[in-house]
Amino acid sequence: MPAGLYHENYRTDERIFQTWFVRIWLIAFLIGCAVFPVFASKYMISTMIEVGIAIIACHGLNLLTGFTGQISLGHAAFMGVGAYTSSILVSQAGAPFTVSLFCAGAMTALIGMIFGIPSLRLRGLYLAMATIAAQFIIEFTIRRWDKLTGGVEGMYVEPGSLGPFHFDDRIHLYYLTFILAVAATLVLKNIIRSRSGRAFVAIRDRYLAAEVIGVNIFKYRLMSFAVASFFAGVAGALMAQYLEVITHESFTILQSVDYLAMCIIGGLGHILGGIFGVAFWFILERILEIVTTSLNSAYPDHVTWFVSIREIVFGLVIVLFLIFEPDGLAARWRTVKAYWKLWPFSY
Amino acid sequence: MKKCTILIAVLAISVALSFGPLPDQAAAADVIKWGVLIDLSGPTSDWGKNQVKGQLDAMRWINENGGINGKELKLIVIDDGYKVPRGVAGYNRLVDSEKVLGLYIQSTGTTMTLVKKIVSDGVATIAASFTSKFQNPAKTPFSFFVSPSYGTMGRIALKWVRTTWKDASRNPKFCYLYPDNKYGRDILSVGKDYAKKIGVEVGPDQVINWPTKDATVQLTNMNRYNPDYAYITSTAMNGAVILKNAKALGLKTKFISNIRNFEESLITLSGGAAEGTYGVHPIAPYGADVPGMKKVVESHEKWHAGEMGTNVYVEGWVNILSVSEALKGADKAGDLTPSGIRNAFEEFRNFSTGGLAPPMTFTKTDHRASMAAKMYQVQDGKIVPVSDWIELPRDMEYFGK
Repeated sequence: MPAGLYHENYRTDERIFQTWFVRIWLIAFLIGCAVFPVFASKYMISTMIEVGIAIIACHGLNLLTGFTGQISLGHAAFMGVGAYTSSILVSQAGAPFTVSLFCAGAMTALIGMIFGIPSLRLRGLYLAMATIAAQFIIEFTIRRWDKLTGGVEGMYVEPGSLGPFHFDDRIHLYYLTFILAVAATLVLKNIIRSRSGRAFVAIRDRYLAAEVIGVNIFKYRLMSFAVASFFAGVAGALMAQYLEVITHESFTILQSVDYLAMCIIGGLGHILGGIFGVAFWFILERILEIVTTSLNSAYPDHVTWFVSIREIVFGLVIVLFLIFEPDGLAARWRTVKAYWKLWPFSY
Repeated sequence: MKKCTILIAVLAISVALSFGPLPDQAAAADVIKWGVLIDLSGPTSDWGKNQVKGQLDAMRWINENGGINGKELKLIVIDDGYKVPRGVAGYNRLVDSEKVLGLYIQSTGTTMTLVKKIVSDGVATIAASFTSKFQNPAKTPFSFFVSPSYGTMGRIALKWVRTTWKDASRNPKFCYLYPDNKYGRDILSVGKDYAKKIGVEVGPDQVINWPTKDATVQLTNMNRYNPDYAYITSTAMNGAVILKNAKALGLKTKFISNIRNFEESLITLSGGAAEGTYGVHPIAPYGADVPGMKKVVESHEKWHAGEMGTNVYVEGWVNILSVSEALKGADKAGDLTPSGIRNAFEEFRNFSTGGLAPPMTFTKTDHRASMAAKMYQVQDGKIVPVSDWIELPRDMEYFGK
């Protein structure tokens, strides 16, 4: 293990795998994920599918909010667009699943760009309002466009298939989600390393300075909306496969807020932020669920007390993170790594 | 200090990971597990808390009185916060990890999302969503619920309006108020068709969405048609706003609340505006003079002294009493499996809960529990019956619609 890294040019500085050590660990982690279904229970596999979907969605939101600084509270609605696009294409137009998956992303990117237009003039809270509008308009459209979406009745999702893989089988769906989550991570990493990525960060940090040095703000903001929505669309299409029936209630503003919270906990503006945030969120959720259900069974008199624990803990976690870890778990991870790298000679 | 936090974080995560598979172990042979997927923290949580209170008290009472043929009944309550993905995750946990024999699902959205999965998993469910779409076993073989459907109760209200109508010069005028979702729209086609048949005129629909903060516009619109009766499909929290607005506008229309709107909290939340309004309900109000109510009131006083007893609490009891009956039947037949429970439910012939709900009958081809309900009125802040049981024939005309 090298004692230090000395970058002599930008190429090595921006390399994805800085050392062979990182590469080995990453490969080990990926192999672990790949063999996971062999020994995991059905419930664990379902949970991991949810985790994968949330990671893809959070990467999109992280690009938009974390890297470009555009708050979005309509992310779940964009997932809804993707979910309905892919399901409608498969069940009504008879398109192959892979095509529908790509089209779901493309369609959502288009819708995302339309709702991204206000970002030319709006920033911060005002943009948040505009994206809330997106959430409500999309939900309303899903509810009222009965012919296409089934309206309030919801819609059955045809299970997609790809060669010998049928995605109503949980294990097959797990692998699809896993592969797409890895791909999404790589795509995000590479976008951030590129010219566009640097433009995104420049807009976030000082949009005026960015404009002065020649970054086309409107173009890059729209691009950011498009890419983020593409991710959301793909995540939505996977979510539709997972849920099997989708309704307008499957993609509410509450989910949008959840995704934003995951990104904040994980670390806005860090590639690992999405992954850490989602992992932390799901682990905390499961622990709280186990705690509350066992408390419920032990003290049935007070069942209504314990359910509040979960809400309180979630609220508390977000507040504490904002106060003590404003950069999220990803920044903490960096500190931990730095600490061990120098250990035992930290000073 | 920093080192400490890191250490704690690492420890916490490793503990969390090791905890994951824990719930699988506890599967004692003499414990029967039943899942409850309910909203205890979301928009319908006031209702959910009363419901779960009733279910858990019924469970305790059953266990103290012999259990399921000597076996212990254990309810595993999971809060889904009325969110579909959380509901689905909760369902997966209950079915795949806790291995429950069946479950109760409250939210309509979650039930609809899971419809296909419930059939392929073959898990018996009882629902709080009383839509008649879950009554046809050819489509939903594992779905049961203990009450007449929303549509049947809507028809009962119409029948009562028609039979109590005195003015021979014209037909009664009727109006529907509902939120724009699946629950709100459920009874519309059946209700309007039936109204036409029995001679009740139906005016323009008024959509009042959730959360309801103000319904003045819709009520003013409705008042142009000036209906004699208006039927509210809502929940108590939202319905109370409608009644308050109607009182402020001084409308002459008489309001009939559906089952999810007509509960004790409607009276308290509406601050007196519910006085004199009607409701159609199959479940006996808390404290009603029926033989089955004694144990309910005793349990409530024992375990929840000082709290308000509600008809939602009684409904919780009815749910678990019918589940325990089905479990007993399945256990006796030596087939304590989800399909065994389905068969046991389908053996119900006028199963009586001592007057807490109309007697229930399920058959292989018909999952309509009952076809009867009573009309109630709020008088002096109390729910008082104003009709006897109104029963509709068990015909196939509106079956599954």
